[in-house]
Amino acid sequence: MTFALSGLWIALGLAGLAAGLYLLQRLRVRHRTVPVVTTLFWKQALEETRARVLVQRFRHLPAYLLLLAICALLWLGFARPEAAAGEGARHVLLLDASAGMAEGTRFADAKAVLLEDARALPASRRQVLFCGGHVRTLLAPGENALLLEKRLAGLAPEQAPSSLARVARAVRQEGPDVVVHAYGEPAADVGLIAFGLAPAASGRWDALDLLALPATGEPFGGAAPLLDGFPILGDINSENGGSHATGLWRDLPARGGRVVVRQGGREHALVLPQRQTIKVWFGLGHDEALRALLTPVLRADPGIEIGTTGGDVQIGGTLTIGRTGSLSFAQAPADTIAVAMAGASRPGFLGELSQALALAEVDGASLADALGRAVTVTAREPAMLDFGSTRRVTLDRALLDPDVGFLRTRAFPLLIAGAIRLLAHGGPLAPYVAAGEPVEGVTAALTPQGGAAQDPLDVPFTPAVAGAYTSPAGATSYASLQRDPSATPFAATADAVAAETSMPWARWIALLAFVLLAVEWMLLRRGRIP
Amino acid sequence: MATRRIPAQELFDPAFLDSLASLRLVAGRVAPRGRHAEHRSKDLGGGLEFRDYRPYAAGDDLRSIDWNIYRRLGRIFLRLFEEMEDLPLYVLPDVSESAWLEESPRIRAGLRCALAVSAISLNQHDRVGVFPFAEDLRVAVRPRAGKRRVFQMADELAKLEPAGRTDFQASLRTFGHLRMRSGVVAVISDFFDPAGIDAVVDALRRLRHKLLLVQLVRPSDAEPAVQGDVRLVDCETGVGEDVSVTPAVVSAYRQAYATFQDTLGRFAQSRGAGLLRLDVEQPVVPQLAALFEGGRLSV
Repeated sequence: MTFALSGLWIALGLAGLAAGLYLLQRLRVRHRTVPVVTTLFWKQALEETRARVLVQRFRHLPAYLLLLAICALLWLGFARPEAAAGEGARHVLLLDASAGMAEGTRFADAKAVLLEDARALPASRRQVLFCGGHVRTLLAPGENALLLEKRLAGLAPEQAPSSLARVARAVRQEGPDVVVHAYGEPAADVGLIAFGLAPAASGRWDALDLLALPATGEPFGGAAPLLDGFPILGDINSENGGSHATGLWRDLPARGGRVVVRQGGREHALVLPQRQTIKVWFGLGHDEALRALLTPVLRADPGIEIGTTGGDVQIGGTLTIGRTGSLSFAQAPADTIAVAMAGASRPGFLGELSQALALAEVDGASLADALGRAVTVTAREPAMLDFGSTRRVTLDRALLDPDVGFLRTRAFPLLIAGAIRLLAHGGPLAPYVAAGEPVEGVTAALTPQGGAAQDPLDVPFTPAVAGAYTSPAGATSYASLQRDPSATPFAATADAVAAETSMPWARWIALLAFVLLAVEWMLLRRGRIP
Repeated sequence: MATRRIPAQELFDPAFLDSLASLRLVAGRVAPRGRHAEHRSKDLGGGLEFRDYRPYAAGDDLRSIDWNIYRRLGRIFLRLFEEMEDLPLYVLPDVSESAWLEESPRIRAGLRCALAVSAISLNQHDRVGVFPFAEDLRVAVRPRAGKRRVFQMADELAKLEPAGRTDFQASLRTFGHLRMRSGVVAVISDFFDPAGIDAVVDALRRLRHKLLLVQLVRPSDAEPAVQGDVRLVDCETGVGEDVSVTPAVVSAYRQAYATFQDTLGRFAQSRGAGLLRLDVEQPVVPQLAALFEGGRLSV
């Protein structure tokens, strides 16, 4: 048995109680007046046994010891004795705050059970962790459980996948004496477990594909989703032999419409982003041959509109005036296909450029074959005369050489489209961004709405919670929930807590003190003690 | 302040007197110079029963000369006969505050006992006087004889009131100063004198009379009912004693009470006095009758 108070305080308290009670025993008590026919015999009796007064001999040792025992027990109870069934074990209580816990009263129930268990566990050997999008400590070892009650009051589940398994593994690696308690239960019916958008597979800039994935084991048989109240016709694909159906609706117009999907008796909704057509224009002094080459490509792209001065991206020209970026063609250094300036210093931009130009994929290899040399992307600091644009990409003019043959490949329009989209809106939209899963190809930190980016650079970015993320270039991605977000690897571990608290010392001590009080009262009533 | 008296109706009723009719108080030989009654006296006189001879002296009654002895011996002797005189009874009821305390006061049983012994003596044509005492003794009823005086006696007893603390020394000294004819003194008291039992015994020892001690007791005297921390206030002196009643204290109390009883008993035995420990919570007459073995109590 251990105590929340230190041994010194307990000893000092016991000594103080003993001394105080000793003085009280010796103090004159308040007597009840009883008239009697004579005090003759009482006087004689008192000659041998005097009542307790300060100056006389201490005569009530049994009563003193009984009272001291009662007070000592109460003092020990006040010192908060702690059970020691698992002496030395450290208890880590994990509160599942994933999205699945938002269902019904699941999170409130988990909080209530956790609070009760935390109170029963030894304060010095318990720790409570909040397992939401990020793991944080709710109650450190040694802290009072009252703090936990306050800290739990304002908590709510986050749109994040369950991290219990990951945290439990990490905690268990701290030592064999760690007992992990998880508080959360699998969702019985969450409807969709994945619901999000992806760039349109058709390549349309102003359209998005809608993805809906029902909970595991549930057939996807709901009605067609509604876009601003009108049904959307789409496909329902099957995976794993049809046991897991996925709803996919293509080319939804990115005009801010509201999409509603009903599944499992629930309604899931999201708002489509607004994507305007990218306006490009040819800058002053541009090469007419370049215009002739690019105009058919640009016109074929439904997300691009050729305009006049003042558009989103300037193409060609000797002076950059565009609001967002400019694309030009010039003689590039050896083995360089593209040079990024004015913005190249931004972390991750080269990676985004490479991805936007699809150089890391089959098109890159095709282009390298066509050019007969390696294809690389480099950065260069802007010259003094370069101004007015925040992003500027210069492609190797050799790409336009008819002898190379790149103009005839299908990669050419994609290269142009990717470069313009990058310059207009930043990095590419990840085809599938899910909370808790690293986003391939995105090493820059995305900033969640209303928050600050926390993930380190140069590693695959992993959004913690579902929601909108903004890339440093301003592009917005919408992270959905991971598959099966409500799966919880643990059931409530009430048994472990019960084993730990099977010896509630405080209750036993209080019960013993109550029994001793009853004994004292009985002895007092019988006149056995004063 | 309302008077605390015991109504005469509680003391006296015909059945009570009838139950006493068979009881008699007997003395070996009463003191001389009494009035004619039923007890043999130390006086020699004109009774019927021959007792002794003595030589004639001038002035003797010539009718008492035994002429047969004179004819044989030529000397003049007088024939002496038993003189039957009375045995005065002096009833000394304790009217101190302690007798009036408690819900069932000891004075009720004490006065009934006083009336009972008075009735017994009056039935024997003895003179009975009542001398209540507390701090001092006073004469409530002068010694008189006559069966009918039992009613007067009851009235007088009913008029008694509490009279302060107990002082045997002063009271019995006063009684001694009255120089009453030797008789029987019936002291009816709890004998709780603040001066202690030794002072009581010392005062009683000075009495020249035969003694009949009636001690008014109750069970709680031997087994006190108080418990806890109490301030015991003596009803006569007003002095309080703070007592934490513990087994040790109660044991010491029992020891002190036993010593008290033993002292009084040994005194009565040594003095040849009658001692009746009268339980005030029980009927008086049966307890009193137990003292009169065969209906007679010899003093």
